Amino acid sequence: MRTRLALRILLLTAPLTGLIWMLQTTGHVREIDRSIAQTLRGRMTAATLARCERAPRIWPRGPLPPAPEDSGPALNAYGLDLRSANPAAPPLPPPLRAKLAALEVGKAVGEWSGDRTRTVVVRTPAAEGPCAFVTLTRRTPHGRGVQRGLLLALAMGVAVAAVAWLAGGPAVNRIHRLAGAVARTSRDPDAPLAADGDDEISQLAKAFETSRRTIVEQLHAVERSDQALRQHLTDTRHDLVTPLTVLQGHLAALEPLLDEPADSEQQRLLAAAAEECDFLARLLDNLSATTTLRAGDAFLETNRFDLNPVVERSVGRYRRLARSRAVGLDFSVPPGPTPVEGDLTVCERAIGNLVDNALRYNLRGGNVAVVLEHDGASTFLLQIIDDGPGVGDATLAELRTRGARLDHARSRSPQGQGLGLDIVISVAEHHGWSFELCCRKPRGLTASLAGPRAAPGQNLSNPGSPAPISPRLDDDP
Amino acid sequence: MEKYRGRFELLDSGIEVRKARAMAASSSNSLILLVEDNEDLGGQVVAQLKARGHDVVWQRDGRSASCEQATHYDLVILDLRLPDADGLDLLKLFRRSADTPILILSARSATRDRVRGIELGADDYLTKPFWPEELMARVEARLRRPVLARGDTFRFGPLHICFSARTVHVNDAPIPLTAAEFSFLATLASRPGAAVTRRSLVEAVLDPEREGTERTLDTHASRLRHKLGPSGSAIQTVWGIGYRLHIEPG
Repeated sequence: MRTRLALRILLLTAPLTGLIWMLQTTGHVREIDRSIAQTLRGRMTAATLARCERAPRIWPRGPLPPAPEDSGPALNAYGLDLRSANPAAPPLPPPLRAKLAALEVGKAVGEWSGDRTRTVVVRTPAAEGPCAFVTLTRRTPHGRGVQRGLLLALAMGVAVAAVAWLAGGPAVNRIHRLAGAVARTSRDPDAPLAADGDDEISQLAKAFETSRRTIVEQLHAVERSDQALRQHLTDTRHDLVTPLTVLQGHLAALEPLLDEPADSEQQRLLAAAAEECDFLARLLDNLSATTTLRAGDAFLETNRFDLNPVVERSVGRYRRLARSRAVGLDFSVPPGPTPVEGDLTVCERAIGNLVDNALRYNLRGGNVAVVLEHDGASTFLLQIIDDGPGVGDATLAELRTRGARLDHARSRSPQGQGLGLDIVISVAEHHGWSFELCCRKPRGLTASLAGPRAAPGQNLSNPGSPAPISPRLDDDP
Repeated sequence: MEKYRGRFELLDSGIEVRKARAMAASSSNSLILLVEDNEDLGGQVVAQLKARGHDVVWQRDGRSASCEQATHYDLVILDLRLPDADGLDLLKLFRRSADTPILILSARSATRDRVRGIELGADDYLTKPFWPEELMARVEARLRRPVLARGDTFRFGPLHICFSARTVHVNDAPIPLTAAEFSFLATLASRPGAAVTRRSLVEAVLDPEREGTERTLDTHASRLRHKLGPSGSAIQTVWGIGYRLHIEPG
């Protein structure tokens, strides 16, 4: 900035200095001309003019103004043809000749006849003859001074630019420091900006500091609001889940006491009550997962965990629903662990939602299989396969996009928000996994999650299954 | 009366503990310690565990639970939210003195809470709400001795497989199997109770030099079931996955 400022000052100062010098020089020259012309008019009396006309070849005679050491008489006379009768008289310079045509009697005009000599011509009262014009050539102390003027302008410009560069240093340095401090606030908004002094830069710093404080206060207010909302959601969930567990326990205890056929009204009501409990439980879990996902990296944990027990737990959680809907549910995991990196809770929720969907949108007598495999050396593939009625291509495309809302035929209720698949898509995006929904032939859907396996060797943050769980025979559809 | 209530409960639970230990010692039942302050939930869990043949000692607060020796139990079910203590502190206390499996019940579903519980020594973490059968399945999984192929042999009922000799006996009668049929059965027996995918079976059973498809697996399964007789019913087809060698839990 200092250099640019100095260059700008140079570019402004030099021409300005040159202009001032030119104006000054022009005025000086005019003064010289006026002085010379005045001298000439004073000298050119009637007698002097008569002497000139009588002997133009040798005129002037008599005392002359001090002449410089260079050649040529200082005083000369010329006729209307602009020629001098005196052979020693120098020719008039062309720029001067051009000015003499319209010169009135008694008027004077000047021109440079050399770098340092100035010639002034006065129109005499003689209407004709060899002394119509009289010139006086005088050497000036400074001459035209073009080169000197240019050097003066340049020197002045450089000097001023240098002064500006030096004088601007402290101010520019302060601006740099202020810019650095402002840039640091982007990394550490709570760090205050120093703003001492009363000049413009200090005022700028104070303005930045005021803005910083305002922004930080607003950020903190938003964080507090977010935290309060999350805490409220956590507290609400916490207060609901134990009574909900007790309610589920009562319903489970009631089931064997109803000595009624499976298609009786009592059993149907019991099953409906159980489904409502399931829906509430999943809604609470999905709302919690959505809150975490929307808060992003600040609240998503990253741990190494084994996907095998996650799949097993997810299936275990839905066995009751599968049995109540008379849908077969089974799973398979690899013999060795499937380590991945990510947030254990939201990943388990995503898998649970896929199992939930596969069960809910299936028919009695249908099947759901959850298959986890190692795909190649470094990836896993998790597929949730069902033989339900499936969906049309348009609905399938809709389901693949975040925020999809299911059509009325498949929506659990008018309040269906598509939270389940939204969470699956968000989890896949956050963890760098791929998510696909495909139709199966002859019917059904396959939901696939695929992603990288973590490198082996480090401890996993979830326990492995102690032994494979074999479903009871009465769980088979 | 309130200040005496705790003492009477402690005395009562002490009697209950001694009775439960005595009963467990004289039977093959598992003895489970339940630490849960909610009366309704605790009562349900106790009833469900007892219905499955387990003996239960139920402590309702942290102070009482901290007096327990985890080594006396086959399993500890621990609720983290207790009125007078942090369940994680109890977890640390139990883990310092015993390797008893500990299953956490918690309303906290955040990942950091689950990971913290595992890091402090819990073996399993079950978030509320849950159905009783899910809890019971987790309990059974922690109490069940794993039925694995021990060394070179596998035994289940009348079925006996020797992996190194590649022989199969049912009721001590040798069963002649082809190489592919034995590989099929051995692959299932190496993971008893687990569903094994068709892809895994194809890789383990079929000769890569010869063309064989998943339909070939079905043929091997059919022949194997026939050759094993009644024991062949243990080979179950698992929809969407493959096959399983079904074994009764316990």
